[in-house]
Amino acid sequence: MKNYLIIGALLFSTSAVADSLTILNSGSKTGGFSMQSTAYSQDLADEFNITLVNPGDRCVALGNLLPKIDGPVLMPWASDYEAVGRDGACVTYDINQGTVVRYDTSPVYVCSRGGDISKDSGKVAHTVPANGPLARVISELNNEFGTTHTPVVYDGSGDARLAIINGEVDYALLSKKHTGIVIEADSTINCDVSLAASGLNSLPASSGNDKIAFGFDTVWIIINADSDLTNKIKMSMMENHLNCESAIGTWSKCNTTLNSRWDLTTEEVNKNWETMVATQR
Amino acid sequence: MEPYLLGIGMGLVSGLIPGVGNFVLLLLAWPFLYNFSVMELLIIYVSMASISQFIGSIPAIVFGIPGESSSFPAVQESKRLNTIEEVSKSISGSAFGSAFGGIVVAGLCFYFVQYLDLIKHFYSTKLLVGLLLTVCFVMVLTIDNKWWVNILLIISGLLLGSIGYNSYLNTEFLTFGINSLWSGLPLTVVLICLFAIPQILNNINVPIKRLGNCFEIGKAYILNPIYLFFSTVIGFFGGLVPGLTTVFSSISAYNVSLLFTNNPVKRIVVSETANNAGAFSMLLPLLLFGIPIIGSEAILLFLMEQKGFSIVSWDFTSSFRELSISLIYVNIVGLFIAWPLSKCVTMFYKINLNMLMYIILVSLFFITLYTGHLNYNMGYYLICFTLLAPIGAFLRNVNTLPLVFTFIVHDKLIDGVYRLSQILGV
Repeated sequence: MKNYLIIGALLFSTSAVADSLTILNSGSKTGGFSMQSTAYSQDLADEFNITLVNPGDRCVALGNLLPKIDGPVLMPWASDYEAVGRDGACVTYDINQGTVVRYDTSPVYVCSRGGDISKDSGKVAHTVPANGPLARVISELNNEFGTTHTPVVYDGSGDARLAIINGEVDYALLSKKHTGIVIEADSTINCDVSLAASGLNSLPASSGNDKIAFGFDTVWIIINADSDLTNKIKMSMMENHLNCESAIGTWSKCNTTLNSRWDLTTEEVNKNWETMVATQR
Repeated sequence: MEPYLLGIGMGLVSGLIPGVGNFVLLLLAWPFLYNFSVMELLIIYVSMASISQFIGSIPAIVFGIPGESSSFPAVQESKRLNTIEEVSKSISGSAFGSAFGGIVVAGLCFYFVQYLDLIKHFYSTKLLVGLLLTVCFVMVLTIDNKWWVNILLIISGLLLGSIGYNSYLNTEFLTFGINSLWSGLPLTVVLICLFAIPQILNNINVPIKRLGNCFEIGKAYILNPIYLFFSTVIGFFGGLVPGLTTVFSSISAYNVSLLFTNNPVKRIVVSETANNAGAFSMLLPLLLFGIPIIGSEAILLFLMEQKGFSIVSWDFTSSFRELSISLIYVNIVGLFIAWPLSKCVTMFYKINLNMLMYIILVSLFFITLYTGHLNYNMGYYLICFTLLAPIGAFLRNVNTLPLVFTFIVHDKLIDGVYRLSQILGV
């Protein structure tokens, strides 16, 4: 009996001391934000009382749920969500309402079934929305190179991946995490990393065409927390990223599939963010 | 705990309680799942998905409530079961059909594993749109309403489903600036109000004819294997449809059965056979291409990745063969859980059925509140229930399956037609 009382007291004291943290996924239930939110909910559970909120819809997450949560919140947000929101979709979010602790830049890679996207016209798979940033990228590619590519919109990266694997499209615009899987499924498909990294990805700078943003920026924001708690959460996140055995370390293949910055100043964050959002609008 | 037992237990809960599906259960069971290996996680998932299909048919056939979303056809046909013998036959036939579907799919996958990569050709926009339109067309002709009523129901389902923000087309429809409406009408509430409630109200005061020949009760009823095989094939391909999986399997097979038979028992068995076949095939895109096609698979994928799963290094052939064998085992267990329940039909009907229906109606209200709570939006769910339930009551003499089906598939259909226009350049 005495032992039970001690264990009970310990459990009570632990739960009383640990800070609460709500992780709010602003993305879909099957995408990368969801996976990372789930990973953090597991990795940070030793230090915080975690509540994972995963509505699978950014309109619900930010429009409905975020205003109702009083305590500290960790939430991802993407530049394309913001760009679409500012163009009239359901929600926008001012990232200065919280503290950006992680800033990711994700170039988009071009996977091809053999053609050269700057010469050979074809169908190009991209992710939602139909009139979003990636659709405009294809339009600008046509303007830039004189091609006649047709954009074909898919609900998610998984569907776009399948479309190039089964030959429904000639090209697909995908993030780094998906490219390895595509090549594994069909070795004749070429996802030229160098093309994205130094070719098309640097197109705005090299061509002077500032309408093309060939990538996405994403941020992880901590809301409703003082600076001490924000730093504690940030440190815990960083430690887990460096730990290949952690959930986020496993998901990110030991941090190799992410391009995260943890040390940007508020000014740098705002400058990068606003530039990316503006080019995606 | 043995992965089989955990999966079977979860499948029982998922199959019996409407609104509590595999996605919610996986989240609830999260702390227990982290200790399992990749193969054990797959076994848990397959067991849960298969057993929920076995069990989901029981409340659908006996009480007219869909324990699983894929049990709509069984709910629909249950009101045409006039005798205890028919109810008993439906349960045992569904149990055997489900086992047949599951085992045949597992067996074929086991022997043709090296050709499974060919399913990538199934993911064609033309094929997907063609299938969805065909099912809608068949529904217009075969569902037991007037044809123009079926068309109205299909249009209503599409309109109701379109309410909210369409992230594909980046457009909104009838949101009136209300935040909650951006996410559309909640699926659970629509299913309860516009499908379950009309069915239940239609079943109240309908007497079941008591048969004297009790020897028939619980006797194995096995449908013609040719029918079962075709149902299995339809179910297999239906399970591959993203976001719809077993629902598409059962409704497609059911629609085909409407063309060939008027027997409610056969129709139920055919649709239940198909959804069990789909419960396994829906895993193929995940295991072959690393693509989750429903929410619960996304959680499974995440858990598997925590245990080192990588599609690049995954030994699909040997792992899949092991999984196929597991599925055969699970289906045999499912059969021995579900079949004996066909002997208990007389016990079910000793209960005051009218009283039970009212209890179920009240339970559905609380399930609405519970799922609203799970989705952090109880008030909105309550408002939707209040508005839609009277419409459901008004439609009690109408077969609302076309409305529910198009509500579920509206985004696949609308987005698919749009994408098809892009591909064809029109």
